[in-house]
Amino acid sequence: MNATLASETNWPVYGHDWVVQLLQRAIAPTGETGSAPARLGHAYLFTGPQQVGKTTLARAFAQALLCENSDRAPCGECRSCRLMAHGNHPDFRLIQPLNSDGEPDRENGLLRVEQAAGIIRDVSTSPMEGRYKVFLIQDFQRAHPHFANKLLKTLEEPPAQVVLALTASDRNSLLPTIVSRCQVFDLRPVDAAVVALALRQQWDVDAEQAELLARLASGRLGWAVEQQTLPDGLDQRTAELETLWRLVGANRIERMAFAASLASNRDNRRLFGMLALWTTWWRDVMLAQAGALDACSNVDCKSELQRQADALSDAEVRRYLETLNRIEGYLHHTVNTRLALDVLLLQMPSLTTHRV
Amino acid sequence: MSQALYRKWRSQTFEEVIGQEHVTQTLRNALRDGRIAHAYLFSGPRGTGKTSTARILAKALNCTGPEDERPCNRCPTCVAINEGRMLDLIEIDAASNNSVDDIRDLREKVGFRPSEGRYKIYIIDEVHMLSSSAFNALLKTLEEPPPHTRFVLATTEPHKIPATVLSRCQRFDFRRIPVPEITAHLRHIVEVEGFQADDEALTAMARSAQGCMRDAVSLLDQMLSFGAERVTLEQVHQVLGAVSSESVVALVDALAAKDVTAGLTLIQQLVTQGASLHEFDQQVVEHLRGVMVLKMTGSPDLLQDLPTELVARMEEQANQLPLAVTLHAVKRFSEAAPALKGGYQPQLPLELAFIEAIETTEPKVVESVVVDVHAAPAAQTTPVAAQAAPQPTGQPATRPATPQPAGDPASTAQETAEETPPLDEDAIRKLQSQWKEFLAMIKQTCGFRVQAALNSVRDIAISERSVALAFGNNTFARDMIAQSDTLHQVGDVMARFLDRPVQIDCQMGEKAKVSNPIGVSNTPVLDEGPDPLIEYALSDLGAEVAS
Amino acid sequence: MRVSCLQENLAKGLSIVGRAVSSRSTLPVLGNILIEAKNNQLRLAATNLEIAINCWIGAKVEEEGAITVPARLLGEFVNSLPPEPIDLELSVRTQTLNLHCARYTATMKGIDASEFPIIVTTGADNDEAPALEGTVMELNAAGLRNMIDQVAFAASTDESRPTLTGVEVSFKKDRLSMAATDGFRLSVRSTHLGESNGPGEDMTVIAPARSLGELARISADADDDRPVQVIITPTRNQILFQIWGKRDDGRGNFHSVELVSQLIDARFPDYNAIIPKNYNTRTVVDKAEFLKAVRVAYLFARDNNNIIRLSVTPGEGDGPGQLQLMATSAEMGDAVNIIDALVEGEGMEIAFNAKYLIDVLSQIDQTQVVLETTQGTRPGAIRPLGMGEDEFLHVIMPMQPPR
Repeated sequence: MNATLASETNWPVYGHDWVVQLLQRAIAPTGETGSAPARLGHAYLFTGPQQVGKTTLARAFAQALLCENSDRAPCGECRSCRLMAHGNHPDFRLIQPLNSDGEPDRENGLLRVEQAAGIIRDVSTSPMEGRYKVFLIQDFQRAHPHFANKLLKTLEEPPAQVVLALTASDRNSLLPTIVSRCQVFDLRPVDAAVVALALRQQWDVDAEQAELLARLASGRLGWAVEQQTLPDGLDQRTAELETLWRLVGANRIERMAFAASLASNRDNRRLFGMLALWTTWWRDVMLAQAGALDACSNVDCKSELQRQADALSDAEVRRYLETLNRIEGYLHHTVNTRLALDVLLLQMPSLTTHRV
Repeated sequence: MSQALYRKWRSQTFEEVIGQEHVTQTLRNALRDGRIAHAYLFSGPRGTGKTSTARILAKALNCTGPEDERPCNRCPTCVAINEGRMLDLIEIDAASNNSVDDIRDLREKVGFRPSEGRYKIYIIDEVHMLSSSAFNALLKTLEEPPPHTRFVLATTEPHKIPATVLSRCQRFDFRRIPVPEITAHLRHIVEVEGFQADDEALTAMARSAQGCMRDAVSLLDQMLSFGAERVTLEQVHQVLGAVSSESVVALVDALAAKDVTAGLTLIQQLVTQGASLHEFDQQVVEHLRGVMVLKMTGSPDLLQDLPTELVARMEEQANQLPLAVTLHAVKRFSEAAPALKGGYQPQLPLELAFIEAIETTEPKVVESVVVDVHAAPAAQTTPVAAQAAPQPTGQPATRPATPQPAGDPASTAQETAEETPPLDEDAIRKLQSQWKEFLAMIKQTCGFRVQAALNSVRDIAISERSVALAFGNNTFARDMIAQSDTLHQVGDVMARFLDRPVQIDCQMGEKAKVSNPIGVSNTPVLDEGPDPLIEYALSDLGAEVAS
Repeated sequence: MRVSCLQENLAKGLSIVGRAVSSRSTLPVLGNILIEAKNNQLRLAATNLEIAINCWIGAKVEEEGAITVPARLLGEFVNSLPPEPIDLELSVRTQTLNLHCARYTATMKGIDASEFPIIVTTGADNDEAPALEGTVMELNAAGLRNMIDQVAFAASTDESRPTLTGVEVSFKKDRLSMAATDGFRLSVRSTHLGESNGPGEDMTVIAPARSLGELARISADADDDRPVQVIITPTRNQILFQIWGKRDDGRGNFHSVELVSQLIDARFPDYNAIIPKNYNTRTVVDKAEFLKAVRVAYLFARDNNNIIRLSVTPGEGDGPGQLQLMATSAEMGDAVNIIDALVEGEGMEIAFNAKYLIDVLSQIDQTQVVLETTQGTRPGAIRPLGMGEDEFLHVIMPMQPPR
């Protein structure tokens, strides 16, 4: 991770410059190199949409704190930075939601009360190699209330050498008593230009594709990176879009058949990927209807967007966007996949032309 | 590492507790008179001083300093409590220690005499989280409290405490701390810590803390940790992700001007600039609220804490925006807040709210497909009817069930229906007698699910041009059929069945209603009750009528 | 790396360091044991980030080197081997360890040794690394074990007050003291270090009680004639104990073990405030009789918060006094046990938690114990008779007898 970075901070992070700069100041030593920082906080909360870069940023923060050579940015070369890169730093803890078997599961797992007990015990002892012990607690929105409550005292008054970093989807999903003990950084979508730059610099994506991915990513660099690491990321998108267009023009029997095939072998990854794509698409249609086509994500499909925008009713498109959001929620939590998908498909705006 | 400001500035004496004089004064009097209750309940929002006050009380009770100075914060006991290493002060988090075993352990330990101080003090935080059996166990202790033990129960949700426990505690309600008091405290900290801060910056921080001192001091800490010489409003906005009030004004201007493109562009810009959409949404709601207040009261008296320029802008906007639109916009933007949780398209809820708020600025006459016999004729042509609250399900529909937006295919169908031969009595008879055959055709063409939905039809009525279907209280079935797509298909099949062009109207209620009924129909067509699957969808999927 | 050693020695070493392997850690390398061949010794090391154990066993080193391999697999494999020499060879390119013993051969995939946390050592067996700097002192192995046993049990097991799960270890002048308390009892043990063995400066640290318990276990296999060296790192974040193995070259031996524990970074409660400064009643009883009487009373006290009431009666004239123990269970009945006692001062009554009495009496080797009390609401002190005044003291808070 030593490529030239976009910001001047030299952190292995793209975007979020304002956060990086503020954190840098917080960890900067008061006096000469190696002296203690003046205003380092003991608990930080990073919130923001999925894959926007919360964990990357929190890790970089931990790496900078633990780095042996630098006061502001991780050098990337010292033993500490190397151990961080390999996930073996003895003074860095990653705490993730676990499923009932004790395996990490960010989607459906929970941060459990036993983990809180482990953290409380762990914070009380001194670091092994460095000056700090850094705890990164991921997906705090998945914390069991007992986990969160048990950690309140630790979050309020951890021992001096402990720094806690939390990530969560948004602050409103946490106990307010947790949030008020942390310095909160609400990460915002990364500018598309920065995403494109990152893709070109760091992941060798060609300019045109980088531009498209950046538009589609809605500011979530992690998503864009994931797409380009998948063997057929963009091809898959094309295929999904073609399916969507077919469904828009399909009659209800075909739609039900599609819902049935989706439900019969439910594949969460594909399902939610598809929902994300559909949401992006219908939002673009909505933008086109509102005369703001230039703001769209699917920049390579403007004519199709305009066609659908002209043919469909505004209200129907908007209603469907809300349906998409609602059904996505159901699919995350419950129950009858088939029914939810039926509703999803039935309510999709239709381009069938025949009239009664 | 420096100690967090909210720890450093935690109140150490009763005098230092801010905004809770009604509590601290009473406690000081009780201490002076030696009338300390066995158990206290401190209730109130987070960050208002409950735990701090409990610790101060613990110090005062065990302080070895001069009696009128307690807590002295100098004697070994006070110091030990301030350093968190006093053995006789036991803080328990009820949220994670809420089992009977935990309380049994407590009951066993409660019997021990204090080791150093006069009293053993138990602070039980979030006490409402105890299980009911744990409450019972605790109750036994509270009924016979050991003479050397004092309890402070703290909670943010006092209504969850059993009455039996409440009755054994002296209760104090902590209140949210007003903005000016928070601001003053922040100002004090800034000065003592040797920093500088703009007044507007401190006020903005105090405001965002919503009565919670810890939130405010935490935020101040964050601002100071950035090492700037002076804390400015701009920096506070950056950290909060708040945007300048100009952007908020601009969005409401766009709303008033019905300029969709301008509004969407503005939202896009905010995203790119890294604004917190949640914060922005709240600012918009607050601003619209201001506009609303101006419209309703006609005077800016209630908005005195806002800058006059801003109020002036609000007044302009109040003149442009109809009240109904303002109210609807407040509602839509408020609804958007919980949805702004960073979905696939973070700004989407805001965009939807904006566009839909604009939609209402063009009040539309609801285009009724059939005329309702019961409603007053005027009601159908006023926008008010369109905004009326939905009928509770199970009630007979008093208005058309499928208000179709202009340009919808159904309305088009109505126009074309003018030249075709009307429906007659034969049609209704055929429908009634051969309903099952019709359903069979439906099943063949549209599939089982549409048939199932039509199973819910309780009554049929026809006029010259349309067939009205009453769906009882099954909104889901009604909704499903009323989908334009499905409606066309069902209409298609029925047209074939009756050999006439048909306009279908889906209604709620037990009786189908048309304005000029043909023939008499009071036979319930089918009464097999609602399809359980559909009911399931209704209750568990939250399917609902989009009106 | 190319090295050979005896199966029994390797198995012993692995069983010692295996106690510090993390069963579940998010750091992959912590599931491994570090194996390092150097200076004709094999060093085995493991850590769970709270305790780290280094163990040296005798070996014939042909080529120096180091690697980490999965702890559980290695341990179980070595335990299954016959008691014969084992050859270990590292393939640097593939980072795999080849093991060969009699007719068994295995290859294990490892993780680079540089990924392993750095564990401080005394450097006593290492010419190249400088010896660890810090405050050094020497202690008698058996004495240290005894001290730990008499103190660590009083530490709290409640993780929500981490400081109390530790043992305060302090060096003042030429005395070493250990103390632990859970807020309801206190155990303090102290010993004379001797002129040359002390640290030369006063210092106090808090070590996790668990770490000391582990140390006591390991030192059971130590050579009691050689002193345990104790080092506290200059930053006061770690404490190191160096233990020597038995000197005979028997099989299943280790050469030396170094246990390093992270320290608890906090201030310990000022326990001197709890220690009674005087007494009104001094009761001397036979320890075994006392313990037995408490155990019998405990049968009835279990249902009543473990409360037993002690009543002390001075003897009349020259006759002996007595100590009466009473326990009541509302549902099941009650018990009264009487033992002889030498009572000095006035009679009194006090209630204690029976479990706490059993805990402390079980750790006392002497035949007689002293109970010192002032009044029923003030702490009681227990000490063995025949030890120095300040050597061992246990304080128990009284219970509030039910009204």
